[in-house]
Amino acid sequence: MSVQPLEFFGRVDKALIDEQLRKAVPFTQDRLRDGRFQAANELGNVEEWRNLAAQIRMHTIENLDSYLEQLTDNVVQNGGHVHFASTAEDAVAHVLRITKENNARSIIKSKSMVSEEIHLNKHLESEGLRVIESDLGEYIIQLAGETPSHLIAPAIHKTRAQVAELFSDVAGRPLSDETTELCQFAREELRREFLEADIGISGCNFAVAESGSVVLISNEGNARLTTTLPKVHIAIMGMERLVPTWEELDIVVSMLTRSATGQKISVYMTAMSGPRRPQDIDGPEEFHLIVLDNGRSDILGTAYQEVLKCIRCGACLNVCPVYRHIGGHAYGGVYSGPIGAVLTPLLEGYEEWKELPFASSLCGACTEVCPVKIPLHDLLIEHRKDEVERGHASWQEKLAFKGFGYLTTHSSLYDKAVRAGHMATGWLATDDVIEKGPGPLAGWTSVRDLPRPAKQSFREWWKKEKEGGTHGN
Amino acid sequence: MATKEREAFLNRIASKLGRPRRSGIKPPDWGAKPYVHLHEKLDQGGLIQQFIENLRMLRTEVLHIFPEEMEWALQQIFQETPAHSVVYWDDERLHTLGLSQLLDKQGVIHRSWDTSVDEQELRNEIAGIEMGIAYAELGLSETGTVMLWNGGGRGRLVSLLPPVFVVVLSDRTIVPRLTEAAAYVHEKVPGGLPACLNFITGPSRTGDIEMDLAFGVHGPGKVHVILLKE
Amino acid sequence: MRVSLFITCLSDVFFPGVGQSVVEVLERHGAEVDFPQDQTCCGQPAYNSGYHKEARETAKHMVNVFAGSEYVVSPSGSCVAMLRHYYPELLRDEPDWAEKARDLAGKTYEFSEFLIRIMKVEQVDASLCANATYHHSCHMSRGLGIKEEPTSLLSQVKGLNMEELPYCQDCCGFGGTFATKMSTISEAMVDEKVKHIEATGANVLIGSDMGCLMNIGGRLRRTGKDIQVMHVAEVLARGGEK
Repeated sequence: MSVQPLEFFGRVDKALIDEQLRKAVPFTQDRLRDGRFQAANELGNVEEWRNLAAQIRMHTIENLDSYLEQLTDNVVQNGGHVHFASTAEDAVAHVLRITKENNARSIIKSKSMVSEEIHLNKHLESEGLRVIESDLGEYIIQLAGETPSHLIAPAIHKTRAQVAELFSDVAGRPLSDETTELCQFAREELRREFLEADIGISGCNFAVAESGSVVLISNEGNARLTTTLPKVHIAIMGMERLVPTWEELDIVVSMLTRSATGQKISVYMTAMSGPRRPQDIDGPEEFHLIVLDNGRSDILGTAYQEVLKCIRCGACLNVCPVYRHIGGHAYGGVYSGPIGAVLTPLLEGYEEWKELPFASSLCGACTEVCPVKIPLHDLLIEHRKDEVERGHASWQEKLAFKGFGYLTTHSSLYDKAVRAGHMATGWLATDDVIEKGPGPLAGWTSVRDLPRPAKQSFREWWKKEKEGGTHGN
Repeated sequence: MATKEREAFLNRIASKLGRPRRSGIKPPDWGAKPYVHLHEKLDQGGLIQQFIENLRMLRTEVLHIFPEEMEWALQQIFQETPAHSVVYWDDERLHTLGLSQLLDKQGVIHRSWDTSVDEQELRNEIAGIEMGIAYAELGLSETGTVMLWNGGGRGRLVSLLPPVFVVVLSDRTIVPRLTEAAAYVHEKVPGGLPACLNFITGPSRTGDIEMDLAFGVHGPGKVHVILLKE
Repeated sequence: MRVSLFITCLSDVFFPGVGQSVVEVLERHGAEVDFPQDQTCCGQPAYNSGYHKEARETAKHMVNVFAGSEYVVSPSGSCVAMLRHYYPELLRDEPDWAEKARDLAGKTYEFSEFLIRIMKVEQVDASLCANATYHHSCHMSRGLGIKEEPTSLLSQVKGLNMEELPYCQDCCGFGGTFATKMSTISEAMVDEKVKHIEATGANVLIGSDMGCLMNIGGRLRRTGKDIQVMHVAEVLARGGEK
């Protein structure tokens, strides 16, 4: 489903020379990760919280059929409609059918990664519908014709000057790059859109099975407007995004906001339980919940099952040193950073995404902060293993590691190889430094010098100094 | 909901999980209560203090007053945030405080969320109103959050459309954190929840432009809290 | 106390001085050190690249090599993490091997961890006149949870002034084959690391993993920076004999 014009390394190169991006991403990343760090410290017992949140998420996934049944029964009981979508196409078809049934022409959206996943805007627009993103960050990137580059800060890569330019175009007059002026403009512009929209589409941070509620969390209030002003509200949820009861909701929400921005709670947490009641005169008259699979069920029961615990907080992006330098777009998928590198190949296959699991130094910073304890960097290794087993590695590499396996299990041969290292590299080295290596060394020496193997390896020294022996075993 | 569609969907999940379909599962007793230590040393006075301080950090002033001081409180608010029109919940707790008369005294145009009027008319009118007033069910000390139990005369747009939002609540209803609020909601589930519950923590904010904090991009950019001593 | 040194392939081939320093320091503090000659590599390059069949065989070989050891000590947090966390995982489907792997995991220590937690070293008796900063390698600090041990040892070295490294939790961009497979990203990462090292004003960078130090040191040299890299063991071996 990728519409990326460049292959992975092309996207990386493009990002690495983008000076704006190289400044903007670390700046925002620092703010968000410091926020999370402080919030974790304030709790004092963040490990206990993580353990509980992880248990809750795992329990929910292990009993997903039961809780989805309960959730959807309750949504119907509340007067809502439920639609199951096995694929992205199914989900889009459900949305399109609802827009037709309501003769809808304009749609307002609040930030939803799952709608990005099914490329909903593109499909709606091709049906002639007007679609407006209302989250400020999403609005900015919609105007720029781009996709989000961060789970919770979609316009992380945009500078204020770029925003001012985009907004000035819409306004038809020059706007300053003052945040307040830009926000005021967005408020007025989007308020009009809200009042005129026929349908509001949101994602779902969490659904609560026991009450059939869809819980949305936002700081701006756009999620509230989206789900209150239009006559019809459609919520699209990834099928794993639910909790059993309000008791569990408390824990996962507490972890979500602290992990995402370091806030103890976001400004707005709204629980929508069906359409307006007979006594209400605001809120949507129709409520639809679309439950999306789109490859998720294939992850169940596999070594990757834990990835479904994800609550999309973005904490792993905010500490990732790779994300820091290449930003979100270089990953190429809807989900970026460590979670994207794990999830995208699962949802869309290795053919197009084989590099992603290798776009990590396996430093483990992601795993350390994940509020639901997904072993992200271990899952990247799992992907690498699967890629090798399914034949995605080059023959040179396979041969090299076959050799490695043989060498490291045959001591005397290994011993000889170590001793030969110095001699064998004589032709490459100047002053015992290799500045330009061949083959697999080229990647190393393109960036940094490589020392020449020492004249006397440690094992030779040991033999000579400690055992007083001569060469050989 | 097409039952067939759902059955196929849920059966697939069960089969991928490698076991028969499950139904009626209840969560276990988790044992862990990692939040307890955060508040165990605070009495009601301490919780109220923390609630007030948290909101202050979110640029939201809390007027902690006796109900008889409502008039004074409103004066303070209008002085700080001039507004000429007000919409408020049609809620007994606000009526008891004599809100309508007090707003008359402030010389502002005001109306309650009267569900008997035409919806479109009401909506058009309140699109231009400058202040909304509602009454919160609970306040959460740890975060400075208020919980609104919307429905009927308690319109959800009151806390959303006007640029200024004033929320009134009783200091007896300040609880430690989301845990207590979630337990409160959980107990109401069997009787049915309103279509919309709101937890609101300070003014609408965004950091989407270079992480520069800005207020009021969509929701009210200014919030006042009147906390009643009871 | 009998200690078997697991030298690691990098130190064996490229940095024998690190191994010599480890031996010297351990012996100074009363350990009896041996070096099982049949040892090879921990297998991490294969494991991290997805070649788990090969890594499993390497792991079995190493499990056998150190079967008779009382303690196994290594000057690399990363290789110790491999032995401690991933060997039992790799061999979990073969109960006999899994048992042996757990046994190895239980007696294997990173160098500074061993000095402090097992040998209870309180006085290091070393001196080095330098302005230095310390690089916390990821597998050691996050994987093994060893953060204080090396810095507390270094704080006792006479004449050594330690400066705090900003962003010390960030990866240097080594990541084994990552450094060659994703060399441009790795370059951006190591350049940022170099920038932070320079900001400390240090003329010596000390670390506990020769992989990271080979990466950072190689970049320092390539970009003409006059900053020396040293392993903790090399620092602690200084001046002890006086």
